[in-house]
Order: sequence, then structure tokens, then C-alpha cells
Amino acid sequence: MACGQVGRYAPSALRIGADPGTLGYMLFSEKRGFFEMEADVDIDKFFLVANYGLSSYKLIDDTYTYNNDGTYYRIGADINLMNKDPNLNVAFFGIRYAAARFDDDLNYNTQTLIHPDTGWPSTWEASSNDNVRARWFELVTGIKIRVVKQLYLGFTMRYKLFKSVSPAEELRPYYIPGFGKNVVSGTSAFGFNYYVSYRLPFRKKIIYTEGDKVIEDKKGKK
Amino acid sequence: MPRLKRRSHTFIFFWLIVLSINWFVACQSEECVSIYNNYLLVGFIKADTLENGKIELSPLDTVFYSVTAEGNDSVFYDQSDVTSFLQLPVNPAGEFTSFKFEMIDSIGYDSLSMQNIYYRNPTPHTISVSYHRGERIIVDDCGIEISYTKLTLVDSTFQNTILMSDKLSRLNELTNQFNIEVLF
Repeated sequence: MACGQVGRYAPSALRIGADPGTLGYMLFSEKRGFFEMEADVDIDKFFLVANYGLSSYKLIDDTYTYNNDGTYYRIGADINLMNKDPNLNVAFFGIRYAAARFDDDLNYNTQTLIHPDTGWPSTWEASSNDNVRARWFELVTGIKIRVVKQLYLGFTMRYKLFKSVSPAEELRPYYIPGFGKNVVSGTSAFGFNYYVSYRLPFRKKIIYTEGDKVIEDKKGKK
Repeated sequence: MPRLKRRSHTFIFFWLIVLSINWFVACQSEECVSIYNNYLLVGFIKADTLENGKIELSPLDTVFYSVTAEGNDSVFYDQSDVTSFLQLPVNPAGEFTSFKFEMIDSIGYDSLSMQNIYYRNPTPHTISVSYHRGERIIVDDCGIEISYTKLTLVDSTFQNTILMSDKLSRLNELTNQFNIEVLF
């Protein structure tokens, strides 16, 4: 390596973004609210990726109300299948480790839909969990398309699996921030995120082609 | 095959796998049913010692003046109910319920109304149980399931009372599994 040159696996850029779906949920959903950010570091054909999100989930019914608030993060790596693209578009798949921490509470009437006749007068009861922890893994795939200058639009599809939740004494958490519903019938779920992101280059990215010919950056100069 | 083409095939294949998994996951739906209820099954069993020393157990039809629970005005069973087992609802708003079994002391006959008159024994029996209550939302529209587990027999004034099953469940009724057996 000549003096002043950087190694092939030296990070070339940081991309930061957010999920614009936040706005949609804010405007149209009474149940769910979230804010999620994503950052990735470009290392040749790999990306180191991290997500951080804030989540709230609320259900209101005649016989119960449920509130869930928490945070989550994901860390992992992607491999770029379009690493020879001079426009630096990305089609990737990868893996993530994810974890969440949340509080939830339930207020419910003792005469519920599936227990309509308890033989006792109906009353309202409360149950809650503090500082519940959950973790899971994800297989992800998606694209990030460069739309203008360093601005990217993209999406990520997630298959979430091997969910594990810290045992709750009384109330089984119904929702896990970043994962989704915590139903009994499965430990996996499917997810989807849109991202708008901006790439902040540290240096010109060297694109290695076959035969060690190199293309520098987006213009395709050899 | 050029490398780019091979990679795009890999990518498409990966997506097909993911979409298939998505379809499979989306098709898994939670049933709006619950095996739990809040009914304690109390069975009355007659224990006879046979000549060979073995003990024969058989259901014993029983009549009570009334069966009630502390904190509840309802009478769950009265003189008109002759049964070998009782379904007694535990308090869904607590983790302890005490049931009062008022016994029939004697039966008279009112010739005017031509009806039996039941006289209550002044000393009732009690069975007290504690349990662990758990809640979960089954699905949004289905609402809450309350489960009653870790049932403990706290107190009984009957001479022989045995805890047989520590879970209140609809399955107990189907399988004739009593939570508590009272032996006579």
C-alpha cells in the first residue's frame, strides 16, 4: 500500500437515516407510535449497521386498556450485493441482534369477552410490568437507492426469530418494541421499515473490480 | 454466468425465501379461545374400605343448604341441587377465596304448602384457596384471558380434603379432574 492510500477495509462513509413511517403512524394510528434511526458504516462490500428506536403502543377496548412504552436497538452487519455499482446503490442482506426494554400496564374488567360469567360482580383491575427485557435475532434484506447526491431511499424487510422475553410475574407483555406482538403461538415475526438516509463520505470509495482494476467513487472513472 | 447476474439471482432467491416465510408467519393467527376459567371443581367422594383392605372411591351425591363465597352475595348451590361435584367461582379480583358450605341439619314437611322445609346446621364448613392470577391479551379484538394457577388449599374444615389439580381450567371439567376432593 502506497503512502497516503487507505486499506480496502477502511470505513469510507457513515450513512444516517430515519424511518419516515413514524409520520404516518403519528397521523393515522391511535395504536402505535415510534421513532427509529439507523446508521451504517460502509466498509467495502460490508456495512456495520445499528438501529435505535423509541416505541409506544396503546390499545383501548370496552373491557381493557393496554399501554406499552419502551426502547429498542439492533446491531448487525449487511453484505452489499451491488458493491460494484459505481452509483453506490445497495442491495443487501444481513443479520441483526436486537434487544428491547419496556414498561407495560393493563387495566381490565374482570368480566371479559371470553370470561363473561365469572359469578362475581365485575370490577376493574390493574396489572403492570416494569423494565421488561426482550431479545431476538433478525434476518434482513432490502435496498438503498441513491436518489439525489448523497440522499438515499430504501427499505428493509425483517424476519425476526428466536424471541426471548424476561419472565413476567403476572401480566404477559402483549407487545415488544421493535419486535411486534408477543403472541403465544410463535417466537417469530415479520417486519418492514422504510428509510430515508444521508451518506456522509469520509473519503472517496474505491470500488474494486475483477482483475484488481479500480473504479473510484460514483462517476465510474477508471 | 457473469458475476452480476449470479448475484441478482441470489438476491431474488433470498427475497422469495423471505416472502415465503412472511406468508407463513402471516397465516399463523391466534385463536380467540382460552382453556382457563375461574371455576374451582370440588368433588365429593365416598371412600369405602373393602374386605380385602382396598379402598374403593365413588362419587357421593351431596346436598347443601347453601354454598356461598365470602364477599359475594350469590348463592352458588342450594337445597335443590343434588350433585357429586360443585363448580365454585373463585374471586377474579383477588388471589384468595373462601367458600362457605352450610349443611342441612334436618328436613321437615310443611303440609300446608306441601313442601320440604330445610333446617340449616348452625356450624358451616369452609374451604379457602389461594391462587396466582395471570393476565394476557389474546388478540386485540378478543380481549383478556385471566389464568388461575398455583392453586393452594389454605384451609378446610372438612375432615379429609385433598388438592388434586393446581390449575383452574375448562379441561378439568372435560377430563373429570377435580381441583379439590373432599373424602367422606
